[in-house]
Amino acid sequence: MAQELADFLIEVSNNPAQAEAFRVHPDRILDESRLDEEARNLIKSGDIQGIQEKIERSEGVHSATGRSAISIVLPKPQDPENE
Amino acid sequence: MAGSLTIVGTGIQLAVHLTPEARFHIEHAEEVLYLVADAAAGKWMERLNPSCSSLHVFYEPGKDRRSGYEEMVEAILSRVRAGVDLCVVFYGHPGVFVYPSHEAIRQSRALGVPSRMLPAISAEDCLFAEVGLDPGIQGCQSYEATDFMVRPRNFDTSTPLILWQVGAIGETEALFSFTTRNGLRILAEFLEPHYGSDHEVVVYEASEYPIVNSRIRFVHLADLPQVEVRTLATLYVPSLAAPSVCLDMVERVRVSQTHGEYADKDRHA
Repeated sequence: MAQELADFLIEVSNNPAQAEAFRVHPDRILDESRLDEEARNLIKSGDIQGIQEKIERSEGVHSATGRSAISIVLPKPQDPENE
Repeated sequence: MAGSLTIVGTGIQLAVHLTPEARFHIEHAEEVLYLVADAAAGKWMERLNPSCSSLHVFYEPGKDRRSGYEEMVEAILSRVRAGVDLCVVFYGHPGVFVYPSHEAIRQSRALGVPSRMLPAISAEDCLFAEVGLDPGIQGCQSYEATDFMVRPRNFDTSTPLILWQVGAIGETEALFSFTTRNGLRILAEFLEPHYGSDHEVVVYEASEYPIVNSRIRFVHLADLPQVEVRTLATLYVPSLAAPSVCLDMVERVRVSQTHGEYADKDRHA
């Protein structure tokens, strides 16, 4: 059974030694993983948006902010400075 | 009223940027509310503390972002008023470009509830490290991109300029699925009279994962509208030239002449 991409990222990110090993031997780490081909290709190509979209699809629910829902500060419409 | 409020940030990269102090508060809180970078980070939060809920529910397509933020503040305050030891987790630095965190702290303190915000790694911190900009050399100006244009400042072209969220210029909705090139075109037109169209700028997108490299692209201002950017992209505009030295002030403060030489050398390194 293929490993979920989110689980792989959490596992590697929680282990700095493994993250460093990935930097040195990315192909070996990916080969040893149980990720599917699409996930491996997304990581290899550094496609962060693709990674996040795949995770959102597999998790079913949009449980986090998502790539676009960042905190954005805009001036208030009624701001006295703009009046 | 018992309870407490602790607001922390995950930093930019999954897991590796979380401070031990922040992790302690997440793991030991009675309840956790979070608004993080992606679904993997959300899944990780729920492993750190099963009593977790996402604030993402307050983002809805077509809804104004500001009203979503007000609802987040109320969601936080309702748990604080109930006497819960609450930890709220935001992506990046919880005090940088995060209206709900500051407002929740302000209102919580007004209720007499012990309230703290802990520092974390921001996108700007990552940029300093990965692009090699040291704000101690020539200073640094830092603005939200839309705000920078709609409230024009007398900014200084001899000081490095950082513009946040250049992939979301003019966006007011909480959720949008694509970034507009129109915003980058307007930004380039805004900057070109000051820097020239051939001035090289850096489009920086910090990676959320330690095993994926950040995207660092060097482009001329004239080519900025053609760049594909993610919403959280940051633009670094290097200075045109080092600021001039006031010799009278050098004399007054007895600054070594080498100070200026080092600044110049570093800028061109």
